[in-house]
Amino acid sequence: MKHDRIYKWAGAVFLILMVILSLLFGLYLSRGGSAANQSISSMTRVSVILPHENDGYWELIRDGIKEAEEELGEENGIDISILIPQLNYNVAQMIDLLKQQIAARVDIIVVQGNGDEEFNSTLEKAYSQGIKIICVDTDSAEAPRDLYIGTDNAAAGEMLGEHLAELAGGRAKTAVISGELGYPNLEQRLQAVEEVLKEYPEMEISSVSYDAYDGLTAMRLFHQKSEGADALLFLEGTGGTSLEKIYQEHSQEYEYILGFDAYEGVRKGVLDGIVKQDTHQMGRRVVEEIARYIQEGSFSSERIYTDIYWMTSDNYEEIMMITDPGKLTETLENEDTA
Amino acid sequence: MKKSGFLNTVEKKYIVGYGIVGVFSVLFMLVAIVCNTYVSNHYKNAIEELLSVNHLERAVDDLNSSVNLTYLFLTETGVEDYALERVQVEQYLQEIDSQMEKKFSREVMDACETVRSYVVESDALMEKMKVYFSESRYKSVENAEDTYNGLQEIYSFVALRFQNAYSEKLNTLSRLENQLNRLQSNAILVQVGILIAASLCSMIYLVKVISSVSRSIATMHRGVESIQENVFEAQAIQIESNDEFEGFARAFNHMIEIIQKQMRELEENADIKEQLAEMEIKNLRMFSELQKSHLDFLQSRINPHFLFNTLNMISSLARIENADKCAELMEITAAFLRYNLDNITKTVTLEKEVKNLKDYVAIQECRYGGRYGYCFEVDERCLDFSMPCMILQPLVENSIQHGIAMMWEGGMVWIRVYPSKDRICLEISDNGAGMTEEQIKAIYEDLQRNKSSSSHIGIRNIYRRLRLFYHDDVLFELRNMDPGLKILISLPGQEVQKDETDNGNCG
Repeated sequence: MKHDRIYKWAGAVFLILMVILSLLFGLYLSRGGSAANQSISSMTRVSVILPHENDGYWELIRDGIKEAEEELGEENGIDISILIPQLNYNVAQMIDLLKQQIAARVDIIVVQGNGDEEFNSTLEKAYSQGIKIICVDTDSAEAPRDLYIGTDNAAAGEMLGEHLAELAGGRAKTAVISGELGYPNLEQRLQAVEEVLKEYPEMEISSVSYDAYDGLTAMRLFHQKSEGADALLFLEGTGGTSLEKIYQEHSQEYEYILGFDAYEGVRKGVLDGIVKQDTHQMGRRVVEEIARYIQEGSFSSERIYTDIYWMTSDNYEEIMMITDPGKLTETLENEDTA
Repeated sequence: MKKSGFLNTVEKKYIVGYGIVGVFSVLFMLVAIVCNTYVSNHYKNAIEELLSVNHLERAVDDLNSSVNLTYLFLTETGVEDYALERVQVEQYLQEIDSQMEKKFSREVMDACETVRSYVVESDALMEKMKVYFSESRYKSVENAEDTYNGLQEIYSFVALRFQNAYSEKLNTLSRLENQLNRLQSNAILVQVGILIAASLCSMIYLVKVISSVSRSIATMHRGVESIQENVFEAQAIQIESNDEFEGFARAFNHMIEIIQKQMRELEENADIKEQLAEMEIKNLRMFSELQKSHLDFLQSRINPHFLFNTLNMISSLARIENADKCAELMEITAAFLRYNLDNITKTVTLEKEVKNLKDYVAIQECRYGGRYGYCFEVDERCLDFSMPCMILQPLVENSIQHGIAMMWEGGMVWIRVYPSKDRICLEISDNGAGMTEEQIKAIYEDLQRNKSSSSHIGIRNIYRRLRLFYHDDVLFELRNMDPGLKILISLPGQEVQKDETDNGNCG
């Protein structure tokens, strides 16, 4: 009889469980099952216009944005649309994208600042329509913006100059390869380098080259070896990144090669050292500041500098662990496989 | 023990079993209905959203056509068309807004806001065109070209946004389809789970109920069989099924108790009867002992040997004095007395009994001088038949005394002994006064009462002794022969070889 009672209770509990499960199933179905189920009034539409699609530098910014959006987006009603021109760093296409966002009356536009007149006038139009403008990586010198998030380019240039002087023992003829003309961040870096090298009488900048942001151009400028320079500085990442893909070891053309962000080149010994910007942090901070703006109605500051590190082959893993642990893991796994 | 609870009948147990199946069936259908409703609703919503975007796009196209008609071809009706199309666009925008209140879509939102930007610009242009048509016809309108170019740039963005919206909607549909497919797969799994659970639950439950019923029936069957074998060893059946069978078992056990009690009472009664019979036998033995002691007393008072010797001596003297008849009578009397005194408590053969009867008849013939006649018909096959002593003589004596004694002549007594199947028949009949039916009935009643009374002592004594000797297997019958009376006694005997003299049945 005791067993009978157990059977009865077990049966009753089982039936109740089945009913509850079915109700939960129905509830799950009725709730819609979609995460993007917020009303339009509570959504903040953010358009991020990035200049480059496959560049590791901008990929990290994009990853930082997406990562932070996953964490903060739903909670704060942030919808981020990332837009990239078909041609890398193509200002005309970026202006077109910018106009589309203005026409769509988005809430916030995130762009890399540049010196193009039309770009800045378009940005100004957006600003005048009440759209919040956030510049990432490169500040906008001519157009109004609400917030800059990126490297302190003056500090980065100073870091680069100091390490060059140290490496060269205070005596070197340096060729500088910059990017496209009109990017204030590059100019800030160059100015900072020049300021540092002034301290060293035997340090000389023999040439400064500007051209398109692409590998072929950078390599062409690399091989020009202007006026017998024995040191080379890349003021942006594309040059060093192109070099590390062409060379497996340090080129004999220059005694010292320094640059920005080409961490693979440092690992392989193609570059002697780089200023490693924490671009992932840039991406994250963009979303964090937007969330802050939604919550508090203002950004924490109008200029936010992200971290920079001096990376050589000696501290490669340490810096990568901070700035891009995923890439480091991938690199180490590939080394083990090889 | 009385149990309460809902499942107290087999019917209710089966109803609960089918109820379990029913509940699971309802669950199964519920899951199917909810899932189907969910899927169809989502498809319907997705299609409605797509159609709304399409309606908006066509409305914007029409709006732009009106703008072009007005601006490029200076058609005044274009302004009216524009107003109508604009209302349409606003309606579709509101429709999409209401949809977006439920489910936000960035691409659709961007498209709608771009349309709104377009409408703002187109309104501005159309205002200028209205001014142109009303006031400054044939004059140029300030900034109209820039406005139109800007408008068309936005229109190109609108087209792009709609492409993105369609693309996003189709992607959403695709994702939705995948999601719904997964959902349907999960729903099928849940349904299969419910089916399996329903089958298992109902099967386990019904098997349990059926096995309980089967066990109860088997237990009852064993109980019935145990009664058939031996009522006294029949055990009470134990059924704890909390249904009718349990009640049946209680009733069955009660019935067994009653039967066993009654059987015990019957046995006790039988024992009492047996004890009574034994007591009667003891009484008869005592009576016999008393009779024997009485005879012994008589014998002690009259020494039989002295009497026999005296009678023999008288017989010898009679022969010496040539009184042969007297001598013969003396010898017969002596033999009769010897038989009576020696065999009163013994079993004798029928031959000896008949011999003794013949001695008695000879004495009586001498006494009554041939007034009566006697006829013996004794089958020789019966002579070795064992029987109690002194059965025939008292009956013949009765026939003489109460039947033919009053007749001066012609009185006759017939003694017949013959086998009948496995029995021996003794028949004493006379042609005397006989008895009335009432007298015969009174004798029968006296014999059946089996109590001592002053009348019919001889017949009752013979009847009792025969019943005791033959364990009640005695047929004792009185028949009124008109004239005369016939006494018929049928006794159980050894199988006697049959021949033509066999009379068949007694009587």
